[in-house]
Amino acid sequence: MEVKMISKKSIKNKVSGTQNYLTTWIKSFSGSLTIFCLIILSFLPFFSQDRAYVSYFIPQFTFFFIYAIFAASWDIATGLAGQANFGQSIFFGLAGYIGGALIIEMGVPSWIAIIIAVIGATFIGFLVGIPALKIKGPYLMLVTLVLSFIILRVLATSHSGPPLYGYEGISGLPKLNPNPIIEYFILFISLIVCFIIMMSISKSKLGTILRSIRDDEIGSEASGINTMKYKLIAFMLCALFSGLAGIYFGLHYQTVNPAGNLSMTISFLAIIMAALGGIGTIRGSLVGAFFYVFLEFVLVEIGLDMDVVHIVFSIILLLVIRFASRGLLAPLLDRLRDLWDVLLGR
Amino acid sequence: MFASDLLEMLYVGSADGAITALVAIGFSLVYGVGGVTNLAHGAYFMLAGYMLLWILTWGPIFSELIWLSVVIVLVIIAFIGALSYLVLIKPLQNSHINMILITFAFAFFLELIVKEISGTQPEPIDQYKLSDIIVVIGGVSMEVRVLLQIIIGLITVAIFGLFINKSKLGKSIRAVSQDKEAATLMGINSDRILLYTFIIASFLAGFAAYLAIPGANLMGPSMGWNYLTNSMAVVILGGLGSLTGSVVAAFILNYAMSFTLVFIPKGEIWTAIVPMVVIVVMLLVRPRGIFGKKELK
Repeated sequence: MEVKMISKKSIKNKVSGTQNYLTTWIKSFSGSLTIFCLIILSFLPFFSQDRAYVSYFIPQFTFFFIYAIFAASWDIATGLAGQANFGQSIFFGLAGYIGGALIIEMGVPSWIAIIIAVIGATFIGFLVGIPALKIKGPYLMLVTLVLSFIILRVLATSHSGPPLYGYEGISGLPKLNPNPIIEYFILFISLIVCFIIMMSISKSKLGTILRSIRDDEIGSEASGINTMKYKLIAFMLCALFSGLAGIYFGLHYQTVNPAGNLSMTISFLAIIMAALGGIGTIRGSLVGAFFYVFLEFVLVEIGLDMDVVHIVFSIILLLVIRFASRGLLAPLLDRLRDLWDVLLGR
Repeated sequence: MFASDLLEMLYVGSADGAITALVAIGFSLVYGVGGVTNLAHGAYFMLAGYMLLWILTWGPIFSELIWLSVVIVLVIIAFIGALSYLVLIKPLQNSHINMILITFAFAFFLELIVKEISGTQPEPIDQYKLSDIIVVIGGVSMEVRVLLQIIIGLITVAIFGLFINKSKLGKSIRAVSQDKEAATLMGINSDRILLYTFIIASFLAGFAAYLAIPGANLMGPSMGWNYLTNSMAVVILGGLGSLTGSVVAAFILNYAMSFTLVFIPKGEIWTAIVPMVVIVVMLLVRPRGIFGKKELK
């Protein structure tokens, strides 16, 4: 009886604790900012019925959601756990291939294909993570980079048609939803769920352990942490979320091919978005992805070639790493918070 | 049939081995002295090749004076190497991950610039050929320029070995790579030594490009990554800080690759996997390499 009483009490405490936490969070600066952004994003598709707006401007936000998940997943392995991973396109592209092949060859419904693709990507993350147990620092980064080249080359030089689909890749995939607004909301909710999970991982004990491995691997091993297990977990988490982003990306474009889904540019995008927002701060990827998608949108609207756009971004990446290695989010938030405090008269 | 295949394997492997040795020595030097994993090292090679092409198509003056344009390209590439150290890497020496990221970004930047100017198609660049003659030895037709490339490459490596072992600068480079703090206490400016190693490394990469590329094709702006991967595999195979190790490993690696190319069906796909296999197997089995002295940390 006593045990039951205690557990009831603790549950009650926990519930009210969460409530308290939520209320203080909403009143706090970052909480109110988040709520503000969420409200704007959830009403955004209804601002205009204009066709160009719905079918051209709204999909930019769809990209933003996909890229934000993707960049944050890179941040888990590299920023949080310190396992430099330059082969992010492996998980992104192969998840798209797995899901696409299932849909085209077996006629599996999209949502089941998404689930299987994510599981497949997680398994690939496990496989890639195994050498990471032994290989460190620059070597790991090179192994992942080369692995992505090899997979790209094997897929691009294979024969068209199953099982590897050749240079053309898989095309004719169904859209997530023919209506761009519904697609927008599916991805919006996915983004919220993914970020809640990733932020809570980052704040939980697991996140602390991963950070300790990043900062001092020998030290954390000496204090009884099974570094092998947690490094594998970091890789699998990273693969899980980038696999989700990858299959969404494939379904959005309705095609999966080596050049578009597996090239080094994809890994580069993840790195630039995470670095723009600040490496190691999961939520920075949101700012980075937003900045990337809309600067790209503007530059393409001006009439620049896609290659020139990438040159601009590589220069931005050079400048950000060189002069603002904390990323853009943290200084931006500091300034905003000062302003907020001034406004509230604190 | 088998003998001529074997001879072809040796021919292709030696030609690539001499080039890879030159590129890998520079990479190994920078990594050994400053602990900098310079991902842009392959890009120096690629850029030097494309600069040769550009300077050649730019004006008639340079296509007449071949030696002058080669010197100009080598000076520019050494200057870019120095600049990439001074501007990008030196300020970030405290943060390892940022250092890697910035060299990656720089390599990507160079690749995109070249892609914007010259496109992704392979371009033939014949004008700088060292020699046009083709000889047939044992049923395999060999170009004299490739034989010259092997010989000049090996001579350059030997000169570099003399330089690093005998000259004063070479001795200070070795001192810094063995113990940075002690070298600094002995009055060696380790930052400046690292700058010199960057200049030497990019110069060697540019020189390798001059030896390898004329007569062959420029294989598109992303070819630098292949050389980077091969250099990394060579450094791991041969052991860090060992010049002999790097040269021997460069030849072993390229013989393995040309063996795959000649003897294994569909070899042109599998050659790309050889360096990867070498890296992973060596790191798992013997992380300090064949000739390496101390354990990698």
